[in-house]
Amino acid sequence: MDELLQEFISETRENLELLEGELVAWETDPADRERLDAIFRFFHTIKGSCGFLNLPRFERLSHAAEDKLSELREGNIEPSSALVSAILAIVDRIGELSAVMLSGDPLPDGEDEELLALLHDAVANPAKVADDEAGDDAKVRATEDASAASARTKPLNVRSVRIPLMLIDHMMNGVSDLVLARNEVSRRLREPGDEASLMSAFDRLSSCIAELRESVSMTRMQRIDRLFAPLPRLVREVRNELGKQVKLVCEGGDVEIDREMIEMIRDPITHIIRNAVDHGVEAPETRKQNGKRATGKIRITARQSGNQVLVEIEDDGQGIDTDKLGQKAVAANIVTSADLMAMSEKAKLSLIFAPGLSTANEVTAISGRGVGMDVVKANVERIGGTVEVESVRGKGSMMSLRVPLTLTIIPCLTLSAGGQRFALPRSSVREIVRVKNSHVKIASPGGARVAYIRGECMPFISLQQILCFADADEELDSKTIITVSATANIGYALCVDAVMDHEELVVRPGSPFIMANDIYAGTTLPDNGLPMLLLDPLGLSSKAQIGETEDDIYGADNDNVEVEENGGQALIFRDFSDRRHAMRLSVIDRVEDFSSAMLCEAGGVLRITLDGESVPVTGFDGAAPPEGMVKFLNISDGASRMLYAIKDFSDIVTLPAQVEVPATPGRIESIALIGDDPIEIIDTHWLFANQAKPRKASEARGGDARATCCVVGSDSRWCDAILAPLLRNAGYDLQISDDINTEADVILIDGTDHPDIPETLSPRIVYLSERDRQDNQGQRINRYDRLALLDAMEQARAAGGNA
Amino acid sequence: MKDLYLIACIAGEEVAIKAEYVESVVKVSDIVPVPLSPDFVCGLCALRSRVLTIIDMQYFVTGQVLDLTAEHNAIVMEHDGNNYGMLVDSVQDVVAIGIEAEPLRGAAHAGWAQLADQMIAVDGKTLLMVEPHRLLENSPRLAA
Repeated sequence: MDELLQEFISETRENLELLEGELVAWETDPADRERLDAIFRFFHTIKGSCGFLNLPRFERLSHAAEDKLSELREGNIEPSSALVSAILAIVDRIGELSAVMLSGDPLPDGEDEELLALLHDAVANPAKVADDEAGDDAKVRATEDASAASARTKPLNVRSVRIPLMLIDHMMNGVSDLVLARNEVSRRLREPGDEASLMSAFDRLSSCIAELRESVSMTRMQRIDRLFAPLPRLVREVRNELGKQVKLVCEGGDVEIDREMIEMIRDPITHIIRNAVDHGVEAPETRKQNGKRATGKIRITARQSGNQVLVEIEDDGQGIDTDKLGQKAVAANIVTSADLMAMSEKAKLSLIFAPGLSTANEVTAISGRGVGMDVVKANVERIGGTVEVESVRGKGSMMSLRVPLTLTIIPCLTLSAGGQRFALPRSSVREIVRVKNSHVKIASPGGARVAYIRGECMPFISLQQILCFADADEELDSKTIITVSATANIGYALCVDAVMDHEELVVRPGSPFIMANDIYAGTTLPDNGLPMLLLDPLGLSSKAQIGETEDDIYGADNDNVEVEENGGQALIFRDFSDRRHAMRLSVIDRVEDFSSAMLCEAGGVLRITLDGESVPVTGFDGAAPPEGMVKFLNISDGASRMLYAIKDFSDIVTLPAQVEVPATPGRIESIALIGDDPIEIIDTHWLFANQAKPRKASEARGGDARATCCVVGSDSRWCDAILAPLLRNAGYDLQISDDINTEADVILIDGTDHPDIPETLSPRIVYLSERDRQDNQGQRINRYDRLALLDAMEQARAAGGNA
Repeated sequence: MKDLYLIACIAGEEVAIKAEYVESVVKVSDIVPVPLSPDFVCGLCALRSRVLTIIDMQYFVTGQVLDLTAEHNAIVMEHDGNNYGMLVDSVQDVVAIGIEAEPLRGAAHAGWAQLADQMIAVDGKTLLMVEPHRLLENSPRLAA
């Protein structure tokens, strides 16, 4: 095919995808001049190129659309939904025609009169409501036309990619660097003896390859916009069909993701969006009755987290009716009613992923046709992603898809079993422990093997047995267990001979023969030149017939009753006075190492600045922080954060249900018997309540007016420059005077020379002394003792308030 | 017009394979087995940076699993985006044949029926014409 023509077609097709979204967005806000301009430009470009390439059909269509748009721009006609439908129909036709051209066939005969008539009609009768039918008719005809055309055509699988020129330049540079580095290595090889310089030349070669690999993988990356672009149109069509009002908001379109990945998640996302419009968002009247806005909102956001992309689809509709879902599941024999009774709300929600289940009362044209969420889940999991659902009845529901950034390079753990090497995606690996480890116990009740790891029970799978290697007679002691979380609620202990290494592997899908049994996710070629199979954690679990657990195996945000009963988990650590303590695991975000040089004292509290936020540090108990690196527990109450310094941590234990509570509240919440040792559990409530105090003094008063403070007898320079900022930050308004203001909440008296003080005021008075001078009455506070000063003022204010 | 045919030997019998399907013929060793795969899948083998799925052709005929320790001849071909190595006993020749293949008259042995349903005359001999693509097309269904 003519190269020029090819380019025109691929450019047109790409523009088309983006345009559809623009058109729908523009319909909702016809005043948006920028969008109108963009749409106009598109048709204009096509028209221009068509005349040049001699494509009369394209030209006629784009000319007609351009005409109307230009009238719109001049304000001669008003935008209407009929007009947008007509223009969309033209966009469709252009897309179909270019698809036919791409396959290399001559353009099918056919006239576009009906489309053009539709367009004129739409302008003539903008108020005509029946436009949808006419539009649909035309569309049906158009689709038939196109499908007839494509039936005649052999599908020609030409896939092209448009790459920014800059990236190609970058790759070219990379290649020249690579050639230079290679020459360098070959020169070093010819000159024997100098090992070191050979190594450095080789290192350069390696880094060149790494760079080049990165830019090549960049060519595969694409903005997720491409996935979002057709969605507004989809929502528009579905909502018109159902007579609902729905607004779609897309966020995070600039997140980049592998092209292949976009294709893989296109169907699942489309399905979820359809579902959200059909089942999620209620009819406008119902919404009004429930006190919601008539227009429902669907929000799709994408963001990158680590080497995954998180896509969330959220609607503010009616949520998922878990009772109805449960009844359906029972009716469809997916669960028994006894099982259903015992299920948690979360487990009931996840029934939505069971095959052959739909909450729709009746099958509509949009959804409920048996292609359900189970397919969505299967498709997402096939590419190593996960899908989760959250829902609040009456408020809405949210689907979160997590998919790997790219299909090609996956961080893997390589391991061996039965004398053969395998790879396992690292994203599903939680922990690696030796079978010999004292925290690991393996039991086999009734032949079903389970592993207890630190008391947590999980199914035990031997990779060697699963793969049917001949010598299934195992010596467990020498083996290694990898705890695997295949999805959020499928976890198991995988027993392998040994874990070899952690590698980034270029993974390719295997041939159908290999993928058929579902336990492999692909093949890869590591540096020893022998192909290696990538295991699919989910496939392994279904092969071993492991079901889902009801609990989230991550256990972090567990709020169910069972955990309450056993008292939750806690981390055992040793503090700086070498005592063993425990802290509840649920408040610990992570354990981090920081240099003690990062510590600084501010506001009487040690602090470390993390990500631009000053975080209080505790745990030294007055002892001086040691030199070098110190371990900290990064704990959080959800709003504020704190670091707790520890010497070392030893273990994670499950706390017993019964604990002793100390007589007075303080640093210790309770004492638990772990084994035979009583261990003090740190009271995190107390920690946050006390540690946050200096900073939160002003906030603690809540909505009250700021307290006033009258400063008497101070020399003005110290007072203005040094005392005033401190007190203002602590939430006091300052009055500096020579006389005592009896209205003030707190009275601060500096120096010994001061007027007489009425007896009634004395609780509200704080005396200051010069630096380093001991007070004469035991009441004066060193003016540089910040903490003591603020404390005393706070007390005085409280006393004054009570009086 | 004459088509090129590769004359190879499978389970001791000479067959013809259309050369347009064949990318190259290599000797393969170091085949990595794929546990739980069908018996006719010997395993995986690396050919430069590509991974070949090795298919044992003679298994369809004899039902005997091949001993993989030795070197084997493999016909390298691509099908549906995947690379395959089809194991044959040996490769004899490449010949140009001017006549079309014709349907196989009479019933072949059960195993052969999966490999071929056409025959072709080469140098006075009548050989089965094996179509590896057809085999790959149909076999995933057997495997699943």
